[in-house]
Amino acid sequence: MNNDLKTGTTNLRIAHLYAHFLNIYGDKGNIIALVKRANWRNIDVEVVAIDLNQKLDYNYFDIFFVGGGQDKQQQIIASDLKSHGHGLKEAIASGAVILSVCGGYQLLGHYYRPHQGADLEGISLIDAFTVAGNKRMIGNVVIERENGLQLVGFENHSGKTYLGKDVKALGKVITGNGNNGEDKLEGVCQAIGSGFVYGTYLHGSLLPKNPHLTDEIIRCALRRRFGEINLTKLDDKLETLAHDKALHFQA
Amino acid sequence: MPNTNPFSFLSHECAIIVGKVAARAIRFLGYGLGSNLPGKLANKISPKLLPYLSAKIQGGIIAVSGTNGKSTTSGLIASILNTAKFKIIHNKQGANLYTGITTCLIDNSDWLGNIEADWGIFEIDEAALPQIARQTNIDYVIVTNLFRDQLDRFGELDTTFQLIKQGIEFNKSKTILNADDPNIAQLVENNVEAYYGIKKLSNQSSVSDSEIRELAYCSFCGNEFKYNQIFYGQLGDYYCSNCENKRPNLNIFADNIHVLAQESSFDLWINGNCLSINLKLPGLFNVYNALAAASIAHILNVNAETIKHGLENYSTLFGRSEKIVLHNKTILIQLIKNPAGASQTVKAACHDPNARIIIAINDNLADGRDVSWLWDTEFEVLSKHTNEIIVSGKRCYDMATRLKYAGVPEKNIIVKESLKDALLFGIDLTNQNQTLWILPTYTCLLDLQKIVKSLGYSLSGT
Repeated sequence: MNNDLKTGTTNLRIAHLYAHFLNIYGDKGNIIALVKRANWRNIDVEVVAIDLNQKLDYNYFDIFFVGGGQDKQQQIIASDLKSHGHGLKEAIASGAVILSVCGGYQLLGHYYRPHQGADLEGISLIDAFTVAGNKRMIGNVVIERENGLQLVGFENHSGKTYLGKDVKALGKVITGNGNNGEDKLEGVCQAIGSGFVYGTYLHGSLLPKNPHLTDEIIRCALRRRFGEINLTKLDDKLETLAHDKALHFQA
Repeated sequence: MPNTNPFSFLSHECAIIVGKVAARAIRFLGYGLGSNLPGKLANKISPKLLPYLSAKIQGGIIAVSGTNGKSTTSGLIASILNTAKFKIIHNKQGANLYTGITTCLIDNSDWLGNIEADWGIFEIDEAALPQIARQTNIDYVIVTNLFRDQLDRFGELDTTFQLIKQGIEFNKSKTILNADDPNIAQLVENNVEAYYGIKKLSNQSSVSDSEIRELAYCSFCGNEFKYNQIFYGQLGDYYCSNCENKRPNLNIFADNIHVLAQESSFDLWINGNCLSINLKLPGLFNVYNALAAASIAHILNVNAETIKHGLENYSTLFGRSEKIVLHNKTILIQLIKNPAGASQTVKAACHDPNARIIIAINDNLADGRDVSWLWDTEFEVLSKHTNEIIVSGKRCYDMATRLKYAGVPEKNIIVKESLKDALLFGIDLTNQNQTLWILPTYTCLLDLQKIVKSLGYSLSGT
């Protein structure tokens, strides 16, 4: 079935950060998509849930995933994430990939500024900051990436994220609000060293309906330990139908 | 309501007449159930109509709120209280917002606004509870559970928690709480009339580790709860590892539970007395609904035999484990709307070796516009299901993708965009000895109702 890979020769190691706390909105779907699409190509996947106060071997993992949570959970994990800031930065610089959605995305920037109370400090992995907005941005989203490919999803956030001028967004907003409802940008997709930082407000879940992005992340993550690998083409009929239908949903 | 209302000089009576006429017109013309609009119009004319009418209920008001089980719990209560010869009114159409409750009151009053009823049993939407509680005195509030549900509407789970709490505290209502849900058990400290729950489950195989559960913290010391046993989601027998806090003692509980394909049996313990119950409803979640209903019935001094009779002779409500026979095939319809409930329903369907399954997903406002919840639902159990699974609704391809990633072979995933096609195809596939399980989201259920009607049959909501 696969020309490039034999079972057992390649594997993918995913650290699911705070799986226990941040899982509010179909975050699990992103992990499922990564695992399945790797498995279908005979790539073994190991997913390790990382809890609060747990040691994290930054060098071991190919992908770090941080989902979204409720305010209370965000506060609980923020300082712990901060303690991993340096390690994560080095891991990514040496080729790992981090994917973060919603709340997790916000904490990759410098800070999250709530309506009241102190800023929630982020890990400054990317030059970005988030401020609490007055209106919740809820609805279907379509964005277009630099390569012309489109991503579909659903946003539900009141935080407004602003990227620094040298930071690359994940895409341009076609439908919906994106990072802040103002600059027509959505998410982040930034190379750091030989690794990548992906951040987005898109739920849906994000990866299952955007298989091209899932494969991009898998390919990127495998590069660190296995070099460039040609991923076998999969039959994406259902995923593509789901994706294409979603292109036409109202915001 | 603003006092600029040009109708404000008109009386409650006028509002009732308008409401009643509107209800009759809507129903006569076949525009729907008319379970909200009459109340909406009447409230415009007389903003204080709900408190005016609800005060006429002699015994008082019982509210059922919480994420899952509102409809069936209130239906079971109605069944028991009817058996006990109480005169009740009940929003059995499931219209559970302010306008829906108003409509129900109008429907049950005469043209002059007289209501003959001992108890009003109202399922009330979590977000609507405070608003309704401010307008009328709710005597008892039953809270079933608290799961993530339509977060695009409710915001966060903590918000929902606060709304229910406000609703209870406004009238200092007495409460009946699900002790097994740590967030519900800690909702209020005073005026708890009963805690209900499950003593233990002998068959632990039903709990999956990957199941999404809501986090629960000890209200005394802030530590996260640990569990002796989890029943499903975050429901279970829990304790705080740091202090003395634990699941409250159960006043009313179920033990010796056997969940079968489409029904369950269990021992119902009330005050040291044991009743053996055969509930004609699928899934463990319905055991909880029965416990909640038995609890309030017991508090209202209904005797044990009547409780048993009321539970066992319950006939289902619109789309809630509702069974119909269509073209000589048995169909079981169970609404799905959030991960916790849907996971339990899917599990129940898998329990039935003769199940044929249709899953219909829409993304209208009433369904939840974000379909992310499909990915938090445990569809993985369906990978072992040998029959084809039919998917339908506006989000049928999302659902098909979900099943594919849950490990269902692609050849077993049949997409029928039109719900009518899905239904007819499903009926064709179903043998005489099988049951066609239909799992629709809310607006798919409404569509299904119309389709069933067009085929010359009817659902109970009709």
